[in-house]
Amino acid sequence: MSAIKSIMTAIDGVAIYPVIALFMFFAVFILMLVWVLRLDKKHVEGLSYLPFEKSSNEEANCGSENG
Amino acid sequence: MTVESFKYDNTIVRSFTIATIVWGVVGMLVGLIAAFQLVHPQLNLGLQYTTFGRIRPLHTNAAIFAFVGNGIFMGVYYSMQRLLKTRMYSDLLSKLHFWGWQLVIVSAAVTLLLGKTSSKEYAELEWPIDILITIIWVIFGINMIGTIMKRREKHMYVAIWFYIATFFTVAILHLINSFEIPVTFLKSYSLFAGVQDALIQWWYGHNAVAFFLTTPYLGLMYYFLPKAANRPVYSYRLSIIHFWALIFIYIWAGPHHLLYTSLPDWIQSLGVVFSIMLIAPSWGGMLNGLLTLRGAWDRVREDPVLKFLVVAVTAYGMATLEGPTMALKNVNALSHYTDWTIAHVHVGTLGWNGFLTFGVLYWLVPKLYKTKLWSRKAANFHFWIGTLGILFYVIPLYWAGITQGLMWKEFTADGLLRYPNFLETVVQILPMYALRAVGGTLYFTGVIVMVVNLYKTMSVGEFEPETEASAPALVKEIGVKEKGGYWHSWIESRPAQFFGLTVVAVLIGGIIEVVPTFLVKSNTPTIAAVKPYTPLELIGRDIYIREGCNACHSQMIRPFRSETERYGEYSKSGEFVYDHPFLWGSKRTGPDLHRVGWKYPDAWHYSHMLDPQTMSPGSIMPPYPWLLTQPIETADLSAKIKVMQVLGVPYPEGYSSQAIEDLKEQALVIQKNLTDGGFKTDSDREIIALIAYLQRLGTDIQPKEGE
Repeated sequence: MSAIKSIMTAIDGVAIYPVIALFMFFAVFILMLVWVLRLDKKHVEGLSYLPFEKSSNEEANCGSENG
Repeated sequence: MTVESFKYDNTIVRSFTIATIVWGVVGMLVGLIAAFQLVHPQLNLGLQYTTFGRIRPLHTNAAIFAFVGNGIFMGVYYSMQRLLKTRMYSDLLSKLHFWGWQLVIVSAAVTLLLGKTSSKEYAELEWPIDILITIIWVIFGINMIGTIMKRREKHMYVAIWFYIATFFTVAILHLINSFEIPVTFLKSYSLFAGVQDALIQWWYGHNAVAFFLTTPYLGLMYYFLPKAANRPVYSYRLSIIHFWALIFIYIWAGPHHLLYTSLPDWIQSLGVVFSIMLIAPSWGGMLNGLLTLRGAWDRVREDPVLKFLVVAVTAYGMATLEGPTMALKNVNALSHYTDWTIAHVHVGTLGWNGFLTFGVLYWLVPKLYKTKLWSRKAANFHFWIGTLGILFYVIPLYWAGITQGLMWKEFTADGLLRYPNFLETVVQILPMYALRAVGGTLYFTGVIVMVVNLYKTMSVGEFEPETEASAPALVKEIGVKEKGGYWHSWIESRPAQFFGLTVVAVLIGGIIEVVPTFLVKSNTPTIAAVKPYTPLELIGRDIYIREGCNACHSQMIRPFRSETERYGEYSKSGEFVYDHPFLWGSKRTGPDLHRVGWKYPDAWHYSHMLDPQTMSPGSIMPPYPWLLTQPIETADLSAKIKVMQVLGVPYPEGYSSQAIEDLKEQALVIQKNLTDGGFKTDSDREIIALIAYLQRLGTDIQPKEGE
């Protein structure tokens, strides 16, 4: 722990952190966006129907009206 | 493919449902009492257990962890079983979770009224309860992850993602913010001090809002809104973006609670930038919720469930636009410490959390009891009086907050403060406080109507303890490439990997923000003149914490001329290095106290605590007569000193055994000052210690007499 502490204590220019953080966030965000947009349309629609349990007796005709 | 039959456990859902209703009533009633106390301070009935400083944390804890907490579990236990097509992993764990959580709530209520508090907002509970929370939370986690593991539905719906992120992040936040060293059974000191403690606390506080009041309720929104509207969510893709962007950004935004304080500038800027970015995912989520109702708006007119859900989602949108606005430094300069913050929070809690809970209750209770809602008319009445209640609550407080904020900052043409007496700015907004209490009463009336309605529904219907269901068993497909099998469909069917990614997203924010502040010395310049508290001052500080003085008084003077003129030199981070915990506060119902030391003589404080109105006519601070009679608790003094030494406070070696002598000596000086001022008192009364602490505040960096 003390070794880590001494290394961290010596960090110069800690103000660069927010910039690094911003870049990291943007990179992850863009990657995620690309993935999401490339998802198969049918697959996504199937996922959105997961709350409607077709196999149980509770609701069978969900989403059919106007949908 | 074999089709398996199984049963959903409704009993646990009902338990959490009833707990949500009961604690909702209690939490809101306490809030209402607190609201009336701000207009009529004598409403504490002269009791120390019911003063504002003690019931305010009781209200916030009850509303967040008892009402919303049980509401989360109610929704999670209902939706998770159905989304994953399986019963909960273990009925025993479900029961332990339920009763354990209720035990936490009851312990919290008792200890907070007794003044056993760590003083950190929304984390006031003392260390034994912190440990209990941890155990119960782990039980919840095992039960949840176990359920995911034995699911019959391959893909995890987006609601489940929100639940997982909630579980993990709350665990981390709770653990880190609860690092404290016990002194006695119900007393501990925070491991962190001053600036670090403040940063950790608001990293926690902000994310308690994010990951306790928001993400789990978004999970509920993504399940119950489509169910109630009977149509799938508007855009599932958008929900994915909503999720990842939200958990990635939320964790960074905490420092916006500490703008213009002694926190390093770069961390403040980081908090601001990420707060602004939060608007995008939040509004994406709100629009996704509202657009789910496309083509169903005719039903919104009639169905009280949808009405509640629509207002809830709208309130989510309003609060998440307002939050980033308040995180702008120029807006925050005005809004911080005022009732604007209280109004903002209540748009979220009354509107988003409250109304979403009510919508879910009105939908769920008839389902559990296999009947129709007893009175749709009563539910509609609840909706309207509740909405009116929110308006009557928040509008007066916006008015009050902005008015008072402007009054604090107003200068005359001669460059003097226009309202140098803080009390003037309080008296000005008292009518608004009264109106706010009216708003609270309206909202509470609606809740009582709901209780009757749901009770009647329960008595008319017949509870179904288990719901029969059937689904094909989940077969492991090895080497089968799924259609549309991009990254996300891979992830959403693999909970362990998903959990890992969530952890990474949340941890990055925490580490980058918090670690450097701890370790880089230049962030907290030390001041040679700052010395540890004397034993008497330390005891006085603990009394200040016990009475919850920090609920109404800040100890953080921001570097504005309007504040330095009013209070004195602005606060420096080096002044707080021995403050375990920090006591900066977040609201100024009364004036800042960081430089109150030697502003008034000892005798002034004595009369002021006995009856604030004698020294400050019109004050809404309650009297504290018990401080004048209760003896100082010195039995644990040496333990306190020892813990402080462990925390790095430089008391001389072996000081714990001589501290009591120093305490008595200092007490005699104050006793003499009071006698000279015309007040006869014993030297071992709590008021003596409190005066010692107040007179010490902010004096370290002031030139001493004769210098």
